[in-house]
Amino acid sequence: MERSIVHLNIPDFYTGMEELRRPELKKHPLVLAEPAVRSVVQGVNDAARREGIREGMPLGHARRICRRALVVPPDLRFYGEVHRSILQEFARFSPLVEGPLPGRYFVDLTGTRRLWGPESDTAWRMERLLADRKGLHARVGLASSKLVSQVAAGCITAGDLSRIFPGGETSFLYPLPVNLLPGVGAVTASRLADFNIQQVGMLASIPAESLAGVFGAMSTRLLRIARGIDPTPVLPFREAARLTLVHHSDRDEIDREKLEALLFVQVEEACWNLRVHNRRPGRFALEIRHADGVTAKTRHLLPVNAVHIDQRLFRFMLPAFRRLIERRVAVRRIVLEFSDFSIPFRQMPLFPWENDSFEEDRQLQKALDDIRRRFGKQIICWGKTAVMHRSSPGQRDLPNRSGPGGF
Amino acid sequence: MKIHVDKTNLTQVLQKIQNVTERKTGMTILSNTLIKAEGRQDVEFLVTDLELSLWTKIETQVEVPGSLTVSARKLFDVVREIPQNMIELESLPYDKLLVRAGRSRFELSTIPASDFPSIHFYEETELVDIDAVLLWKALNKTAYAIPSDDDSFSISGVFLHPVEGGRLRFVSTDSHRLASFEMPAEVFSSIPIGGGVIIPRKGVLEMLRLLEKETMASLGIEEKCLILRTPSTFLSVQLLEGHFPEYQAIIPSSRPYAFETDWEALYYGLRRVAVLTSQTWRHVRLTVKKGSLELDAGNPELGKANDVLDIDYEGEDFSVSFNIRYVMETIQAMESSRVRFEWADDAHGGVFLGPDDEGYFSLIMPMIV
Repeated sequence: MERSIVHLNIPDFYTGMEELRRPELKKHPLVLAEPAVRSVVQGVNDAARREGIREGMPLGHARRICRRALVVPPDLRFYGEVHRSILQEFARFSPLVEGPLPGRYFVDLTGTRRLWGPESDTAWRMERLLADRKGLHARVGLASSKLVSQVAAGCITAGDLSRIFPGGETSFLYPLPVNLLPGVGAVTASRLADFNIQQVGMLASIPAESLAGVFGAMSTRLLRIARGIDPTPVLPFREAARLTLVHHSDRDEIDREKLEALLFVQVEEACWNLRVHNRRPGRFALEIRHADGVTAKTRHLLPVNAVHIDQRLFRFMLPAFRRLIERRVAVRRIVLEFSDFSIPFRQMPLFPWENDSFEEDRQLQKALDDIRRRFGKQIICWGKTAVMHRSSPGQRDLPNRSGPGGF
Repeated sequence: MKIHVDKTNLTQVLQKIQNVTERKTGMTILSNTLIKAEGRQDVEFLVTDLELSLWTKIETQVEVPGSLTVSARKLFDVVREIPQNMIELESLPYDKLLVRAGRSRFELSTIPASDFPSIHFYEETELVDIDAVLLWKALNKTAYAIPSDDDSFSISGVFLHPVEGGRLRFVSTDSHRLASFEMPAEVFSSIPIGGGVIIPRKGVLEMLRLLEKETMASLGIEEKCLILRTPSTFLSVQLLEGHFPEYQAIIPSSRPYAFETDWEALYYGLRRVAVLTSQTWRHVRLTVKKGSLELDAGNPELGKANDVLDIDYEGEDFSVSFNIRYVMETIQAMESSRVRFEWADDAHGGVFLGPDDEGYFSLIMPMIV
């Protein structure tokens, strides 16, 4: 049976969401970015794009390009909720709905003709549903594979449908510029341009051995997508539970002690959430971005006895963090992510004295939690974090976060 | 050196020495085996990791005497792949060993025998003949509870020490469970164990391998070193110096809840419910009621498993959770048609005994679920 895959691509999904919430923003160049000095642009609307602002641009640069641009902090939780509700709406048409990113959807309509009628009509009905229920318009591509439907959607404007009939994939793809292929970015396109390969058809006609000399292992994939070969199925997306904490410094930090204190604050915040939900993380990932743009990442399994007690969890993570910050370059961003959650079962130790230190830590953590629940999170803090409030030479004293308390 | 050796004999001896050699070591010589062909018919093989040393020999034809060391793992891999029954080993110039069989030739790099550490097997020490089956049994019943690494609360070895009543006890603990086995002290009466000795994990596992097919062996202790001799092998194990935890104080004296059940029913019941456990969800809940034992295990991602067994119990209902692996290993080590479980409380743990397996005792701490 011929496959029928619909791809719906909602352009500028995030800014579209903001414009729906606040219609007055529609007429202005709109930029989504965190209200921090060093933040980067995370989304732009059409008006801002016309002014020359792009995603990934530093906010300061964007402001210099267009002084009247409105800057709004992104509300990722809200966008996520809308994304999930759209997936649910599309699930009425087919059980195979995949939402790899907010605003991008694949729906497998194979075998639904007798139920819903011709696939083009169903795809169009989905676009109308999106417009009526959410006020959003999508580019709709319909083809026999995810790859071709994605490219087809990329060639039209929002509110249009492009259908590529089975057998017409190569004649559709071959005249297109190579940068329209998914996965061919600016670097690959420029490398291909060095060899005067500008169109998909030119790329598809090159023998695999010749391409392998330049692109190595990537050449097989390049040839496959240029020839329109994509057997990947539409997989309903199940998001794994994750707890992510991002610290974006206004000021680059190189002091190891302060960096460790920053990590401890993140661990503290994560442990609070884990305790509230009674979960134990099985894995953690750390990512740091240096001031020169270099990013370092590490992922580790947590031992069974790593529980959601601030001190204990931090102790397991510190060696990995120290290995990560070996470069003598200031750090701009720290991302901490926990995953593989489970209920914290506890194996009782044989020797009672082994349990003493754990019990001490647990009771101390409980006392801290009780104080914070009653007087607020800021009322008391660990001594480790006090270093964050220490003044640097030539810098004014910052108000103490912990107030009069603090261990 | 030039020898002709039977493939089966050589494979057996190389298999025997594999576990003693160090694989991840900075000293390459410790991953090598010393081959000494000094007599006319005997070839000796020696391996050591400096704490554990093994000597063994095979009968073969020695054409040219000599000695050298070669990677034990690589020689084993080569010999295993050779289809012929007779193999020729010949030392070549420039520290090479030629392994030849039929039309296959392998040249392995060697290190001179003079670089091999000198191993002392205390040949002059008086060894005592022991019942190999009994020693194997004692080690096998305690080996499963030896932790793979030392930590501050456990020691990676079996503690062998005399106890009251003229008995000798083998004990191991990984700080979550404790396994012990007692036997009459006269079995090892003339071996100087003093207040007790600790045999390291690697030594215990090697002793188990050596004793598996033997009925009689000789044992001795000299200068903190345990020597075990079987008809064709010498094993010397450096004893651990650490202090074994004071375990006697933690054994609950009062165990008010107790029941007995059939060994097979319990073991296979646990095996059935263990199918749905995982690395994270590894507990089994034992719910004890009058006349029945309910086993619950499961995993929210896979599902739940439940099984009910008949037991001899008339007391109050109670329930307790254990790591299922710990319980299964404990029961597996038992040689009894019945299993007796005695429970104190969460702080003191549960005791597993084999009514027909005299001397075996296991204490497991519960999991708080």
